[in-house]
Amino acid sequence: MTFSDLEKKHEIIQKLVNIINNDELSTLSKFMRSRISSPESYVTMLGETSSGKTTLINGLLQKKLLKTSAAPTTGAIVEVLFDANVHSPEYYAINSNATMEKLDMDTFINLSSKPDDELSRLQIAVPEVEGLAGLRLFDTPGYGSIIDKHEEVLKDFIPNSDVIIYVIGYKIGIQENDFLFMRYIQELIHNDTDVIVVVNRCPLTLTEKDRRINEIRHYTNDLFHRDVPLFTVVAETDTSKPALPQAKNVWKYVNKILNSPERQKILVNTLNAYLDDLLHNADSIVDKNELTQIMSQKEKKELSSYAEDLRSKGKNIIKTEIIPTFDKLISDIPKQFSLAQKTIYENIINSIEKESNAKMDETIAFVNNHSLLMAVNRETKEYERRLMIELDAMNKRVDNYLNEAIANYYHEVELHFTTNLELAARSSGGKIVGKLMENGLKQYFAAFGGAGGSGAGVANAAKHLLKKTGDLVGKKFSRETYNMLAHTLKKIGATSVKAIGYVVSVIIEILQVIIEYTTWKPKLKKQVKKGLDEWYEKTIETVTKDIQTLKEQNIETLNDIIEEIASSYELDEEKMIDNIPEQIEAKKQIHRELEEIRL
Amino acid sequence: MINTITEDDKLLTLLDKYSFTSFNNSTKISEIILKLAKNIENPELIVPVLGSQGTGKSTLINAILGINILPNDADETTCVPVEIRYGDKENAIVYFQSGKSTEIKLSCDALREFVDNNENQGNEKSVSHIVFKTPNKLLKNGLVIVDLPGVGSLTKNNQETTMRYIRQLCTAIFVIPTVPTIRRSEEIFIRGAWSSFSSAIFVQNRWDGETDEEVADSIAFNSTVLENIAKNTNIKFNGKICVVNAYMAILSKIHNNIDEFKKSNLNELITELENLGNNRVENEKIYFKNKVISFIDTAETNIKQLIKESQMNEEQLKAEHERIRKEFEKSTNEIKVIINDLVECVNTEKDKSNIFISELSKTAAENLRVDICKLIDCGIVDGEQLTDAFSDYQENYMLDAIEQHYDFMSQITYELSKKLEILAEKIQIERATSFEAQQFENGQAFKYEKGVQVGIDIIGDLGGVIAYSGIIGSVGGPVGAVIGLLVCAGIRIIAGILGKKAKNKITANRALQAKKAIKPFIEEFKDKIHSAMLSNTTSVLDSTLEVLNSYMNDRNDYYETMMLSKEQEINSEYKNEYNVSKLNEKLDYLENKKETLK
Repeated sequence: MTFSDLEKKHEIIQKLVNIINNDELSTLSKFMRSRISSPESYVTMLGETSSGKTTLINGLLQKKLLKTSAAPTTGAIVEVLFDANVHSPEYYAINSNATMEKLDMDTFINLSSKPDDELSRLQIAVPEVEGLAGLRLFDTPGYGSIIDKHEEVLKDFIPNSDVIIYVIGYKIGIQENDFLFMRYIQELIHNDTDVIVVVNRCPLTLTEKDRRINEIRHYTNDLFHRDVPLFTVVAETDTSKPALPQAKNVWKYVNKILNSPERQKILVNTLNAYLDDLLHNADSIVDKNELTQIMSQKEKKELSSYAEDLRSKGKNIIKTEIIPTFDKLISDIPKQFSLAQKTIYENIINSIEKESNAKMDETIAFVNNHSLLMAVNRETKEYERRLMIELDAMNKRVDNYLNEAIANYYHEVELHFTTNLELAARSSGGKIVGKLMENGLKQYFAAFGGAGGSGAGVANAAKHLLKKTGDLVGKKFSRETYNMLAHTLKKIGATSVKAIGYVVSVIIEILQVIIEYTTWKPKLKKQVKKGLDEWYEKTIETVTKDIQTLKEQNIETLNDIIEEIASSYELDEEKMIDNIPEQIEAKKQIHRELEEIRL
Repeated sequence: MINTITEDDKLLTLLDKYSFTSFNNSTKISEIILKLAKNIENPELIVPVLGSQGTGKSTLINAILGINILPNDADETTCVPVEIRYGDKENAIVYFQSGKSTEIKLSCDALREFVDNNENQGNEKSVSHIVFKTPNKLLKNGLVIVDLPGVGSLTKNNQETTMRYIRQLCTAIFVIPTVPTIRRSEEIFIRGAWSSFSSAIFVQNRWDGETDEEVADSIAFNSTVLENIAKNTNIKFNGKICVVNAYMAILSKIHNNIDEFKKSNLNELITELENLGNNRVENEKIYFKNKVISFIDTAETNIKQLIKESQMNEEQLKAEHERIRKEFEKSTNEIKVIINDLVECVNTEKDKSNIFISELSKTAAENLRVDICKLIDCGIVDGEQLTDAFSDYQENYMLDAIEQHYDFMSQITYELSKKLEILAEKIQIERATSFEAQQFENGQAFKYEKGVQVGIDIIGDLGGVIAYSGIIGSVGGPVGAVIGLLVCAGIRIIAGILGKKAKNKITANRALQAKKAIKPFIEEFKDKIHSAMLSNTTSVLDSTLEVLNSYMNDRNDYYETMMLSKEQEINSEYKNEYNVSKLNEKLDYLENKKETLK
């Protein structure tokens, strides 16, 4: 299958869409057409502050369009959109309420270093650079800022990326945050996401044997568990002009990845699946319209009473299972983390006590770099595991209840259809039952920011997994919940580990004052205690917030699923559609046509 | 009931003659029956007590026995298994790996010399195990309690003995903590060990100072964890956790304080152990009875066939044999298709798991390398500290790997068991409808029962814990054997690697040197977890293949030899055997016997 096949297929489906004349369906179809005619690819630049990500982008554009300076600059996420229809740069702000506004250059530059609360990200549309058509390139702030303020980078940008470019400054080398960040990225990316490492601002006299480069290479290969292509970009020598490194090796490689046949094939296959989904959506609407016409008012009323029943069951399970479970989890947070704090403290005290008084410097370094991190990691993992076990158990209870409720609902509906003679006579009657709307496409669309969705507007067709519905309704629910849970767990891990920073900084405080070999131990212990108190405060604050969010998302997802199923047989009592025979005929015709050309 | 069987020589002779075709099976039926009967007379029920360090294992055993005999100081680690069994008078004997043994004084201190890791580091004294006999009435019906070395203190020197107890496939007591609740490493250990036992009792040892609320909370969480494990490994879990205050129990027993003893709730556990012993004997009896009935059934079928054949003329007999031959041939071919599919599936899984295991160990080693190099880069080059950190990291990444490995194995087990169900069903049907197949399958069921220790528990469904619905209780033979193998998959690996921490010290005084010095340790770690995981899967999968292949080979051999002998039978004086009235008399005798058993 090729892109032109996809276009042909879409054209045929469009005919049916036109006849049906449903707003939502038309929007979906339009969206699909634009995805097929101008496919997009996603590249995300990641790396610590001041590693030179923005400079590399300016270099690619060969113009200083984005602001850089010696102090950490990028506060906002900036998206660079390569668009063939754009002739000179256009600036936009994308707000957190999913609205978009056009900006002038100055406001854009201003917002990029001092983003306001409304801003989700900035966008700059630039003329296409050869070979990078349809590319959406994301410039991001450093790790700390991402964990605190830009969850969408973790949730949407990284998982949706075709290529991740991780930038490390040569002079600074690989730092603690880089380790944390790369481990995090490794867990978020799909198997087929390419990762490349760029070592920026290298000296001109770089040799093959350069120790620093080799160190970075070893670390990144180990961290990503693969051979990560490493590129070096030499520092600009002419200091009088703004730095615009061409980094041809980097972009050529990115270009090669994006246009590789494998990647194109995945994209075509996914888009094809979405087209099938679109057709399925159209079919369902025709079927439903047909039903509306056939069914009596009384029958329609009965059907909607089943739907109401299912909805109330959904509400019930939220009230009796989901809310209490989450509330218990939330109220347990302080207890769990104070237990953890105690364990960590004891652990560290042990490793301090073990050493002789003479080993002051080594022990402080050891505590800072190992004991603390290890103990916090371990305890956080224990907490994550606990959370997962509790939620998993809740999920099973909810699943059981819901599966039964949904099965009941379908059963009632099915019974209804078999007793309706007219429906039973038609082949469509029985078959409709259980034909849940395949909403993969709708999801993709929503993630893209369509339909007023609050999605981050980043949805890579090839990465966006199609949700399989089919007969296992329960499966679907688990997966959704699981994805959210997985994300929350990772985030808790990251926040907790990041919060160690407080402890470390407190410990470093004592290094400022010269301490004696006889008194350093009690002093160090005191500082550890103080630092861990701060760790505790900071961690429970964010964890509470995260679980609260998870709770809300959980309820929302459940409501969505229930609503989707409940409404699938809710027929409008009043609605009259005049061209139903035409729709039915068109539906048959379209399927015949598609079969003929085997698409 | 048992005597009426074992002392009935006529019955045993009949069974020896008619119950089995001698194919591939040299043991006589009578011998099997006598051996089973002996098991009932001298029942032995091994109950290993497992739990990680600090959960109060030894205290619990002391409490059960009502005497303070096992050393249980705070930093105590048991490094040698201690077997506690019934004896008319108390004594303790140390068995060495060399086969020698010596009696020791009966005291905590004397035991400590061999049991405590501080006194017998890494089991340098090469003790195999210690047997402690005591006239405790709880142990009188064959209960043997075994204090096993904690997971962390397994060394090369005590691993084999420990595994021997675990492989007995008996009921185990898992001692789990209250505060903190079951941690990740314990969960992984339980996951690996649990499925190897036919059932498990979970005991939460409560310490003084733990509030009721804490206990209730931790029971709730611990049972969720256990339910989760049970679900992932297809084990049945009754949801019960027995909360005992072992310390209070032993103290109150010594001071004869009845109220306190009641409060300790030890009686709940003791009752459970008593039931276990009694049930075991009952179950063995039922198993014995069913086994004898099935032997009689086979003999009867055989005799009936002979009676039927005696009334045929040569032509009819030939036709009858031809029919049997065709029937067996047809079902053999059908089973061959299923087995081929299974073999292919096992081979694919084997390839997949090889790749997966390589990936797992590579990932673990790479993660380990990052952490340790990072630490060295931070200026930590001190040998002691580096070694400490190294074993911390090592444990962490090993747990990651094992956990994923278990998940993978669970998946394989699940998929294979689905396919095995098809085979089981097929064999079951064939057995019920075809005479020749029944003959053959009986021999097979017997063959594997001997080979695989799980046999008795799974095939007899004696409170077996494995919930492979549809397979349990219905089938022995190759399916039972394979299931048995799959069930044992977990445990080896835990014992194999958790045992040894980095004992060797890393010494260096500069970062670059330290990195070089650490390299071989990382390689060693990688190789070790790789080979542990690999041997775990390959041993299971290879044995599965072996069982399946040899089953199919046996079938083919059986076909060749038995059919050949049938033809010869016809050609020679084929009716010599057929004295109808005698056969009928034998049949009546068997039938009567069966009725009395039922």
